[in-house]
Amino acid sequence: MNDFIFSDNELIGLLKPFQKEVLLPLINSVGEEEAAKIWLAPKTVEMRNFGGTSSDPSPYFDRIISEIRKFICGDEKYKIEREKLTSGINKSASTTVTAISLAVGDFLGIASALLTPIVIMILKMIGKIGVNAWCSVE
Amino acid sequence: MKSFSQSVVVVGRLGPNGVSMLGTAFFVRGDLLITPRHVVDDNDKGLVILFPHLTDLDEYQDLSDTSCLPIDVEISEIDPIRDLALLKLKDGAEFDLSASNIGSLDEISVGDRVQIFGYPHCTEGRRVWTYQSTDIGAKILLSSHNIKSKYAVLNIQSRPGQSGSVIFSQELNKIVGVLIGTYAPNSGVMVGGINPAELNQTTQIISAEYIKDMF
Repeated sequence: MNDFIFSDNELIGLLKPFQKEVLLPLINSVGEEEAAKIWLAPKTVEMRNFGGTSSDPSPYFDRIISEIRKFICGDEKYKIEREKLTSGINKSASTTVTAISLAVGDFLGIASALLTPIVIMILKMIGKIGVNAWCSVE
Repeated sequence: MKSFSQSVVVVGRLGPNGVSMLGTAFFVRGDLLITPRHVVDDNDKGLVILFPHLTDLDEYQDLSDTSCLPIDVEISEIDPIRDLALLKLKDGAEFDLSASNIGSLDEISVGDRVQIFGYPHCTEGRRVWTYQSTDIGAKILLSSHNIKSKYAVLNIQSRPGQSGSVIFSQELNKIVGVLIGTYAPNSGVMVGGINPAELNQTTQIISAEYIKDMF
């Protein structure tokens, strides 16, 4: 279970400068979970966009968290990906974040580039309370 | 101007019935393009750009020719606050293009002339590389969750498909913005499926400086 515990510095170091510029002030003001929600679906000004499709632009936060929880908390669904990750010799915060983002993104049909900062923030939360505690809370 | 006929392309998605055109994107490097996040909808399954179809700016674009050459791309970065996505050509592919000169709205003034290159109406199935020119009407700050971003208002109406159009300053020889959409508050009524506020639109662009931080 300690496979998913990393230091804040390691995790924050994975954010790109443009992500840090937005997320660090948000984390300080509203905490990791709320910052992750805002990242997924920020409130925007009243704008009519001229491209894309008319589908709901905001991925479902609860579904994303539910899938990340399944990956980290030992659900059968991600057994192969989790075993590949935890048995690897180059296991680091970077490989862990990438593996979770790819697996969850692939299942939900969401680009892993959007999920990477979410996974970083979830792991940052887990670093504070521990994997067992995080997994025991629904 | 000719270089933009090769570096400004249509973004689309491959489906069972062919390619659905979603909007405009432009190259910032031989393998990287910028488009708004809302164009690609966070999903890079089947995401493609269409190989440039113009060889000469003055040639007549034959709209009866619906053939195209799709090139696979993936989403490399997303900035949801600024509504920007960085796309990357798949499998190490690269176009022979010189790197773009990217500037900022800080470098231009209200009243300055800018050029727009994009594909108006492409979401309606019409693929026409189009050049337009207009003035900067205002420089504004828009706030999302207390994070302020630099935008400008263009004195022109925009149409579906133009999201992602490149905003260029000939005077500076720099890309200064990306077309995001238009200010259209919910008027509370719809007339024939149209929000009347969208008929009096002003085009909104975001400063190109935010692109530089993404790659």
